[in-house]
Amino acid sequence: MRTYTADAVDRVGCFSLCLSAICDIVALYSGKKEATGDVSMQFLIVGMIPVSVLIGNGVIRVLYGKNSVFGFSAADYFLTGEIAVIGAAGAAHLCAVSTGLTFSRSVTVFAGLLAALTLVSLAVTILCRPAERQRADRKAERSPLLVFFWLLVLSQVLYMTLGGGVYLGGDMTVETVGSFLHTDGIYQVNPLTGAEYREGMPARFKILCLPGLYGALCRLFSLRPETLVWRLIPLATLLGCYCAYACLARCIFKEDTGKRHFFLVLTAMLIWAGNYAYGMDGFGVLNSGWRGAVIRNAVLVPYLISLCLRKRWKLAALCIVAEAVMVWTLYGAGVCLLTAAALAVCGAIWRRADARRGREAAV
Amino acid sequence: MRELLLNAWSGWLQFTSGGKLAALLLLSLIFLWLGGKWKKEPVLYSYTVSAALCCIVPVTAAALMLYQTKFYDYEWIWSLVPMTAVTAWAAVEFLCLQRHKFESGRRREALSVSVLLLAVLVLCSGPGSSVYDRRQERQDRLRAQEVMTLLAEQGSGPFCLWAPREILEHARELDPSVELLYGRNMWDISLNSYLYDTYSEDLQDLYLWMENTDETGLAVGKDPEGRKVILQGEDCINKAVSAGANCIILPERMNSESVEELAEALGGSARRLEHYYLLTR
Repeated sequence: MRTYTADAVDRVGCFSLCLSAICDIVALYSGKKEATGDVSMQFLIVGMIPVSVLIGNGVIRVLYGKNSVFGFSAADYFLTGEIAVIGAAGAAHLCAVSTGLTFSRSVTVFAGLLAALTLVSLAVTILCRPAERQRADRKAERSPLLVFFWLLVLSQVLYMTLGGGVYLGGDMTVETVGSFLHTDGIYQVNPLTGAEYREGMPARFKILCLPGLYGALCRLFSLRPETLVWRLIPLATLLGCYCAYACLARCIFKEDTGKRHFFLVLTAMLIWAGNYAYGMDGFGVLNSGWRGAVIRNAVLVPYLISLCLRKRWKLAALCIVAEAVMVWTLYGAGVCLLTAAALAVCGAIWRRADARRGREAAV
Repeated sequence: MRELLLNAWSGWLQFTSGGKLAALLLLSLIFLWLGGKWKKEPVLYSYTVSAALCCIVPVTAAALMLYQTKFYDYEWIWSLVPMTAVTAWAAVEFLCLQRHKFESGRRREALSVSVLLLAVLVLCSGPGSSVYDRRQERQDRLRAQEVMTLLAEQGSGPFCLWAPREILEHARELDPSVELLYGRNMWDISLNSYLYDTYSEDLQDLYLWMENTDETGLAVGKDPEGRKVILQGEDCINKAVSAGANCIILPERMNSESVEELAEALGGSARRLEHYYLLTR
């Protein structure tokens, strides 16, 4: 029976782990291998995407109705699913902090919410099928640019998993998750020393849900905190980042698929280029993809911009809420709110200008 | 307010000193404007221009720093600016222009300009610069792992550990059950935003001694008035024990005689490890 220790993950890297997980699942379902406890971990790696897509699909159908789904792509479903999972984690964490639940109980609440979300989404997906199916343009998707893009993404995955950039300055997520798991309580001890708090901690920091989410995933899938936080979550952030930029590319280059692929290639190159300084998108994604501020900058903000440009305000509101539960903001008013408000104002100004030009042309 | 404005201005200078992606964004905005490509998505373009201006002008930058609760540094106000997206957009338009030139027969010009763009991109990314020493980080973690594994093998109950910085930096992530005399927020002050607890002067002296001790167990510290004082190894060991430490790791640079003396003062024993000395009671 294979065990995934921190050493194994550090030495061999998550990349090989992902590959072996996929191989194991294929072997398991083709009857060549017996089920082991490691399967739960493999489901986290391989099952994350379809579960997110399913939940996202359900949320979008509930928000926009079954016949409005044509404006959305798989990237939208995945990102909305991720936001819904963060929302569920935020709800469970807030519930635990406000009522003093133990960490195990909060994990149960989170698992229950996640299961409910998945089941409701499955029901909505089955019951609310759109009247007709949209056909994708398969021919246009076979572009050599996409191959180059995937090579760049692969190089980033290799950097994150094998070469390993883990920037810890100003961050204590792994220690916090470890404390939650060890004490079975939320902020019972100071994560940096393991001793009890003498003066306490800011309440606004206490309600942020990412350590709770990571802790819950560690508990549910029997993972070590550093394996999940430093290796697996950054991969999900990288995937979310490119999904968000793919959505933005659809807004900027509505008709031109080739330019969209070109855009993704250049985005991947800029992510590499930004690896030089703390605070740049590239540095965040490649070296600290588990932090709330990085997830906001790399995933939420580009996705929010694409939503605002498409006037999908309900989903934009979900992005604002997601930021509020995972990043320290001014009483919930963060970058997403300001960006959405500014884009709404810019949009209104341009619509007015267009209308005036239209009237002048008619006169 | 003056301090906030100064922070905003020095933040901008620092932001543009390492790499030049911010400059590339401004070039991209100018290119999109002159080429008329901004009309493709005027809302995104006008938003980016106004957000970038707000981040550069010190008054608005200071207001944005206030809005982001002063918890985050200057560079995080640039979260508002879709730098990667707009730079990539401009680069796509620029390269498509070169493709048209290439197709119309001006191949050499198109290729050389495209290569020049890639070179500019590489130069703007501050090649060779690095925020932190990845190799050192990995080495420190390996050493901490060795020590923590050894302590776990000893298995004589819960530890309260006092050790050099590189061990304490990774101790809690490797073993959440271990308690530390002081944590990473002793040297990474940005972590102090997450808690109200502060360290006593005694603990700060212990940190100074551990990081600066010479081979005989002496280190230079400061008294409450800021005057230099000599910190004695024996005093520090006693302070650490009274603060609750029951497992002490000393740096390799100390000589074995001094370590034996400190072990006697502790009333315990010393053991030589590969890179450190281990003192236990």
